[in-house]
Amino acid sequence: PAAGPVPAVTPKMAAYEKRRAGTAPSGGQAVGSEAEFLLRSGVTAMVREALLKVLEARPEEPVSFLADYFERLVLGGPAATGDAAAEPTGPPQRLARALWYVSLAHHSHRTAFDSNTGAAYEVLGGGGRRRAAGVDGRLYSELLRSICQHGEAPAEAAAALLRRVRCRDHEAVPFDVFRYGVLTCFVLLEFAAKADALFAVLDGGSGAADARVCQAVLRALEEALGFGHVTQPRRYLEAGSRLGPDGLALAMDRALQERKLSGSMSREEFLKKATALFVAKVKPVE
Amino acid sequence: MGVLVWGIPALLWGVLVWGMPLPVQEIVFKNFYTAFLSVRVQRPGPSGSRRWVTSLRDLCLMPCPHTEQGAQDYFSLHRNQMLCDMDQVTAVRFILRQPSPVWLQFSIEELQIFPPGQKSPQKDFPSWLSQLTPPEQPASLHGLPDPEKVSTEVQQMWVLTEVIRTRQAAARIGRFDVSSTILLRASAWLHCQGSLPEGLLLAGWGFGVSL
Repeated sequence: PAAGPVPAVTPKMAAYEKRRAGTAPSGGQAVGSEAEFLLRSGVTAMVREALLKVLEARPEEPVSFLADYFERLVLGGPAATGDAAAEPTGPPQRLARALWYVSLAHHSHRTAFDSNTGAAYEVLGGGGRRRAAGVDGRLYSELLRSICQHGEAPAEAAAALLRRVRCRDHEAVPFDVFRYGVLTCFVLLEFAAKADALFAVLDGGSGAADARVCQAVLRALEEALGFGHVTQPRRYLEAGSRLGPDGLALAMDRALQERKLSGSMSREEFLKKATALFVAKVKPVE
Repeated sequence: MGVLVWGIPALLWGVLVWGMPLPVQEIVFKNFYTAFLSVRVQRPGPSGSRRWVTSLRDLCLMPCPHTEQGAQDYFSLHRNQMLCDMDQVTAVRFILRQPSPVWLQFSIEELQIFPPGQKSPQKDFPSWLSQLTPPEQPASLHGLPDPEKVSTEVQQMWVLTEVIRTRQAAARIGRFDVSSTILLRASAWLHCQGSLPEGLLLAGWGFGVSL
């Protein structure tokens, strides 16, 4: 705002004037008007924002990532164009926006993931017009549930995980707890995908794997996870030796040698047992 | 026993002296930016005199003295590595050299000298470390799923669980969980102690309510 009583040039006009002055001697009118158009229509800001998101998330398929990004911008309402920080109003919109934020970057890009989670937390918490309501247990649980649904997690495992990290509806959720909850959901999705891939190896494409072999592999994983009490480098080495190809081959061979009734295990059962191992390692919210 | 260290830059001496001649089996220490180590030991010579003998000459601890490799590693010198007999040692002198000007200070730390009977703790390796390939191998891999592929997937599942472990939330909700029995007891207690001053009542609550 200018100091004088006379309305001064607006920022937009100032930028336009400046740009024109800067480009006039060299480029002429055409370049100035193109740049001015991009600036005025918000394309510059929008593309910059999109590029920043790509850099943050470093997706494997940038084109589909960008397509998704712009699609969501459009779905976010006309107010959202060019400014991803525009405030969505109702709880469903806020939830959708928060879900979008947290799924932008993979959790292994730790900084990007944490900052996106922060943005989601703010979007969810900024409820009322006058005061920031904060995130309560109900919104938090809803977000976690929709993450699991969106990623098509096995329902039973998702429910077990939610029971572990949920907060009560009236409780105010601190950011750290929120971040951990969101992270566990995403890791669960990935874990379930890995377990699925593992089952595909175990069953060799037949749809049902030997129950003894499945049990042996799961037992090896459970034992490796059981070294939680020992210090870090040793824990890694210990797990590495147990879960190496040699160790696993031996465990599977032993399981097959046992003269037990050989049943088969279905994909669902295997996923259930595997994800149960994971959920048991999630620290409950207290 | 203590290490006396004096010296000029790039060269340090440390002497470890004990009264009577003792056998030495193993010397264990942690390096701190020393590039080369020589060890001389003092042994009883003829007619009660004592002689200094070189038992290790310029052992390379850091392959490239300007860089970090080996700078903070643990080393164990076994008596087989020594140039002289280590049966009757009365003193040990460590000569540390660091030709690189990059490191202003260097030394050796956590020095331990073991007599023959005693095993250094590093020897108690778990079996998975001393036998990198398991002693027994399955008779045949026929009929088994590909162990390489199984191992890849299982290890990734393990890593994901580890992610959850290492990125745990530090914050707590700070929930008050008051079980009904404790509540009953607390209220009964409050009832009995109703005439006591306020401070004590609060103490009673602190006891009855679990955070």
